[in-house]
Amino acid sequence: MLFPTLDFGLFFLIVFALAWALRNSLTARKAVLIVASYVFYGYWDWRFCFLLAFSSLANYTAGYWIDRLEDPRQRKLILILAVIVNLGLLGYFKYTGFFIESVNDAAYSLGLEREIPFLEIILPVGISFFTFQGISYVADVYRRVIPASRSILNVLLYISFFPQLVAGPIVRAQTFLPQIEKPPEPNRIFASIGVTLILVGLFKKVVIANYIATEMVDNVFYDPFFYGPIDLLLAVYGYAIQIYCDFSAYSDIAIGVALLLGFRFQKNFNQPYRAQSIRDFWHRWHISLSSWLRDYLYIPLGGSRLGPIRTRINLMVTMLLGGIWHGAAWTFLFWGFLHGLALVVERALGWSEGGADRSLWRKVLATVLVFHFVCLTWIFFRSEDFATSLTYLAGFANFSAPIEFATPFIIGLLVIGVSFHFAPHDMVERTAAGLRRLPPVAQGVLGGLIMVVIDALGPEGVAPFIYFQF
Amino acid sequence: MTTDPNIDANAVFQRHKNELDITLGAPGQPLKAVVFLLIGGVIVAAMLGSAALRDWAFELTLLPIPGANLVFSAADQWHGWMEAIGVTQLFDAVHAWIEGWRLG
Repeated sequence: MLFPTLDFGLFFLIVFALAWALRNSLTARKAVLIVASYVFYGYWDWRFCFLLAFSSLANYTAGYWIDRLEDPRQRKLILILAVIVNLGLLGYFKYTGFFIESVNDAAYSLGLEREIPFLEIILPVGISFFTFQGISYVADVYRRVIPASRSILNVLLYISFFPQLVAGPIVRAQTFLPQIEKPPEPNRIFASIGVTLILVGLFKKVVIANYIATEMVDNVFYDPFFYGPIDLLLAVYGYAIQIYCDFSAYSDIAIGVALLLGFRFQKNFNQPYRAQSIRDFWHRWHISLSSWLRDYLYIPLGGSRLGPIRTRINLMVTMLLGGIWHGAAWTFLFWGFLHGLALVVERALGWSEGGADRSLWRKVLATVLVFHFVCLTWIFFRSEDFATSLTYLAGFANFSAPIEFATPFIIGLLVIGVSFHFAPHDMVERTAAGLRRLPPVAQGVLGGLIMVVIDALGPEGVAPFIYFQF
Repeated sequence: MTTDPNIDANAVFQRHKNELDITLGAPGQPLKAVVFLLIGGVIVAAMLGSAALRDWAFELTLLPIPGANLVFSAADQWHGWMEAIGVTQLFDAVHAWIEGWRLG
């Protein structure tokens, strides 16, 4: 079920009514939200509901035993088993095909003729997200950050909660579980913020991301050979805007929907293209993933506590795994490698600190450089394979190709997309405060009006969100 | 350079924490007001976006759903009324404007 559809609108209204009607019965409310989340997930492929339930059950059981046992070795063993089960599921569904293809390619290049038969495995939507949530739950119980949940319902709801189930943000158990352990506050619903987030998200997705994708980016990345430097530059800027508008839109809508249901999550994006270093970029882009990688991978690897060489290795390992988390392809791994390399270089040169003491022109220069480095890495991220990426890069010397996409419409979309980064960082809060001054019905009328205008502005049909494939 | 970047990283996240909490300091609204808000939004969306409602109802008739034809008839009738009073013109005007811009 996609957010910007009537199906989801009707589904949400039913869930909203039931969840608030049952607010005084914690168990009934949890049960309704779990059923709703499984309906939402089963809308794509009901068979994977069993996978979701298995993942929840496995993590619940592991958490229960880790909490109960006192022997550190036994606790650690169960933690390791839980991580193996989580990553095993992710590995099977997401990386088996990639592994077989890579082995076959290597065998072929060595002159071997035997091939491992290719397996057609459907990737369950959102598996990367709920796997990471499961691991964070078990790891936090192991570290005694949170107690193991006594009720299976809590873990079922934590792993499957529909607003952020398929494309994040990756919510921590320590943030989520306390919110379902007490009745929601019916006198303190952050509705105007929720509605504003939903409308901003819909605009970014339906108008900006969808048009930029269908009008330019998809064409250019499909076969970059036919395009010259101007179109290639516009397309990579376009993809940078598209992926931001697409992914942050999902997070905005997810957070907005959760707010209307009485749950509070933190922002997942904070104007990432204003970053003045790659480190700063990762503090602003997909914050729930970068903080997850920091807390459950980088720091357990030793972080920066084991000397400069080991710190660089840890950074590189973290970013390589962050890259391959996005997709089972060498291009994603290389994308992670480039970001890891940039972090290592920044750290070695002391550039990552940024700081308010920089002069304005140095800040602007740093922002421009970081943006263009990120754009360069997006070429590998978006391309089907390395050959396409290299064709894309080589095309910057193809001055004979005519300019096709430098139209007022495309440029206008890019400018609007970029403008989100130069608006005040609390734009949503300010807009919501303005909305709140109106009577509730007027807020709804205005929201409904804007929603119809967004629908009219967007192209026909709704493209899936980019991060669904991860 | 910072001596312990782990601690520094935590400090950065702490510093950004207020920026990331979108509800910080905001007053909430009571459930009754939120229900009115949603009712207002649904009515306006159903009136101005009646064509989308009809298209959605038509897609239901392609599925084996009991009563889908009845839903479609009602949505079609509703769209006819909305067209008659002229409220669907906003959608058409906005769509025509962006199409004009897109096609140059």
